[in-house]
Amino acid sequence: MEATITQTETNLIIAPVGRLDTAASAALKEQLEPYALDKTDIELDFAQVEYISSAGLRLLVALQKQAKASEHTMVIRNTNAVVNEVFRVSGFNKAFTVL
Amino acid sequence: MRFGIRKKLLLLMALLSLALIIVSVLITSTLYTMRMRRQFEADSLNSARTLCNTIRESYLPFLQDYREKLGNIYAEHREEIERFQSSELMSDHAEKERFFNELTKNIFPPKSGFGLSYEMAVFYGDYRGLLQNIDLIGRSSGHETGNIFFYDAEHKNMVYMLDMASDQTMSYHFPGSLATPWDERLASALEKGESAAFFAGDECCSVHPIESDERGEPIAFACFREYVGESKLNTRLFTLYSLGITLAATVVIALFIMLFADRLIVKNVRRLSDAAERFTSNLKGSRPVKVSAGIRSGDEIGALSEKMDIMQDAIIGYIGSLEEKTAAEERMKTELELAARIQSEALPQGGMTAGAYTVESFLKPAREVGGDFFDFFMLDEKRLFFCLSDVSGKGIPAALFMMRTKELIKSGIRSGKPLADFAAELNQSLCRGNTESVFITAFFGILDTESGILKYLRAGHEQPMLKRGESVLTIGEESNYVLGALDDVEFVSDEMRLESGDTLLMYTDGVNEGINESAEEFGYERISEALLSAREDVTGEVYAALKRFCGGAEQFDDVTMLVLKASPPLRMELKKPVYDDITAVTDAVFARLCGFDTDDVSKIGILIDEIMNNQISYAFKDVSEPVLAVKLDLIGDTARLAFEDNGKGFDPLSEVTDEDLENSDGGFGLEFVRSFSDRQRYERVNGLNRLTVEKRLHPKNG
Repeated sequence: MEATITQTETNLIIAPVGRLDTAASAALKEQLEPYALDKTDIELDFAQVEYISSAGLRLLVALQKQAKASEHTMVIRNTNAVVNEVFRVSGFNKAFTVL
Repeated sequence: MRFGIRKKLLLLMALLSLALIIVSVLITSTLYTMRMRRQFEADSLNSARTLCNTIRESYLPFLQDYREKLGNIYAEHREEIERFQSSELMSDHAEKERFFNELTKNIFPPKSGFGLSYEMAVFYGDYRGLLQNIDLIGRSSGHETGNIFFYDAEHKNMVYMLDMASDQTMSYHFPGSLATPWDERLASALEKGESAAFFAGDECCSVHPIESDERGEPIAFACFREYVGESKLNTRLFTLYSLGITLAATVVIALFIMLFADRLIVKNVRRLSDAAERFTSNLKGSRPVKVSAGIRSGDEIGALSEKMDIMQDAIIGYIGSLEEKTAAEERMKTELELAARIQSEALPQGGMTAGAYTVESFLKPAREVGGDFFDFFMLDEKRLFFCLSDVSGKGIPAALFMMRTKELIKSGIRSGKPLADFAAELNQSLCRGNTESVFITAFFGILDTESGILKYLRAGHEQPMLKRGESVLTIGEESNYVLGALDDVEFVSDEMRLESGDTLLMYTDGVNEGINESAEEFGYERISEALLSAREDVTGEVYAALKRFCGGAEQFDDVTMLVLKASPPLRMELKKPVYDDITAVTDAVFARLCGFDTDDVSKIGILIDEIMNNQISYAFKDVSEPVLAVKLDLIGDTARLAFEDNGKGFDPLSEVTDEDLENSDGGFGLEFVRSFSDRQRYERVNGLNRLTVEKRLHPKNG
């Protein structure tokens, strides 16, 4: 399932769909290549994400690093219980801005 | 050809009339002839008597004298006369005249010379006078012959003295000629000297004695004879008249009878017929109305009319009660249908999944409510109870008993007692107050959905069939006694282990005893075959086989089945696995876990992704033919995932340290494996790495 990516003046809105596992993360990474990740803030809409695995986390970490380097912010919205649990278990709930 | 009553009556009347006419004409004409003959006889005798009286008044001396003279001649010449009369000369009139003239020439001398002597003259005068009297009396009365003769009793000879016919005719009796009495009545009268009148054939004849004053003995007899044929009697005319009258009378009477019969029978019969027809056509309508012919004639037709009224009342009454009965039956049927619905609604619908096991039910009730039932529910989180049972008998009583049994089972099984004790208690409960001697066959089972151990108890029920791999075997070889019959029997349960892929089919006798049009039973063999060939929808396919076998034969008994399936383990083998294969494995596993809580299933997805990612990333370095196998087992509500690879020996559980976690992003993965599974185990088996993780899953929606 392809993610929906929307570039606005201030935000790059990324809305993945389904499982954010090894295969999906690789696909999303490829999908993001045309976009400039250091020009605006990044907003991740997880409304349609079922779960996320460590492969997905790695992608989020990479995005977070790029945002920080360009003094932009990254926020994650609409996470479900499983995603929250993954964040909690991995400690990323402290690193990420989860709204 | 068909004749109505009217035509038949007419024909009958005509025949009867004809017979009546013939008989009546015969009788009347006979009576008439007799009466007429008596009249003629009386007339004839009257003439004879008149003649005698005349003779006694005026001609007695002459006649006495003449009798004496002729008597003398007769006495002298009797034999000569008799001889002549029997000779052929008698037929010659001239000879006859000559003979008799010669005989009586002394009395009647030939007329010659100057005339007769005085005596002779007187004699001829009297002779002629008497002859004239005979002629007068005879002709006036219409008699054809009149004569006077005397009788010789000794020789039975009538000796003619005077004959009114002229001597010119052949029938003329010359004086002195003889005759023999031609009739017995005549002979008798002559012997006795009496008068007589009689018919000899068509001839009316009368004789009357002419008696002298001195003696009682008659000196002669006066006789009149007359042919009285049909023409004289007028029989033909009379017959014609009587025929006409009788005919007219008969026709009038017949017409009268016809009219009467028409009124009495034909019209009434038609009225009856019309009434019957109208009543019958009324019956086709909505409401039957009595149509009375209303004949009160008091005869058989009247009685028939009354009986028909009674019959119509009876029919109307019958129709009414039939309608009531039909309505009552309809009500009963509706209630039965309702009962059947309540009954089937009381049974669990469809099936259920308990971990790796699914229960499917099937019930095709016969037309009536029956006593088949099944039930299945979880006793606790891991134990599934199921039962299939058949109450003996059919209809409401069986259904009511079934409901009671069902409740007893439901409350009894929850006590947690062993199956055998539960069955014994249930049996005692069912025996109590079971006045109708209803008994129950049943198969009970308690499945531990974690271990796959099935405890079961068979009480007189059909043996369930177990499909394992490509063979079918029966379980529960030894049966307990049926329930509800004897209250002191002991029960024994048995035990077996269900394996992944096993299918246990339980059924009631409606399946194996289903008969086709040749009255053959479906039988166990065919159930076994159907079970073996069934793929997904086991009950549906067994029922289809049963339907095919039974053809058009009606289903008499409920067809009830219960199937317990142990899901087969999911096993996937991947050669030269790549990351994209993870998606396929995840999809396949998720398909098996669709009945469980989504969050739990998502965690299984994370487990798969982490472990497979790890394997694909690290295990196959320097392996020329990498093979990765994933196996999913559901044991009760626990999913057990086993991952095997032919990479180098590596235990991710022990060999990953916290240090690794700091240094590698992949380290999170194993942390997730620990966090999201309940048990993890690594082993090295036959040169393969095998990582097994188990996770208990919650049922869907909490």
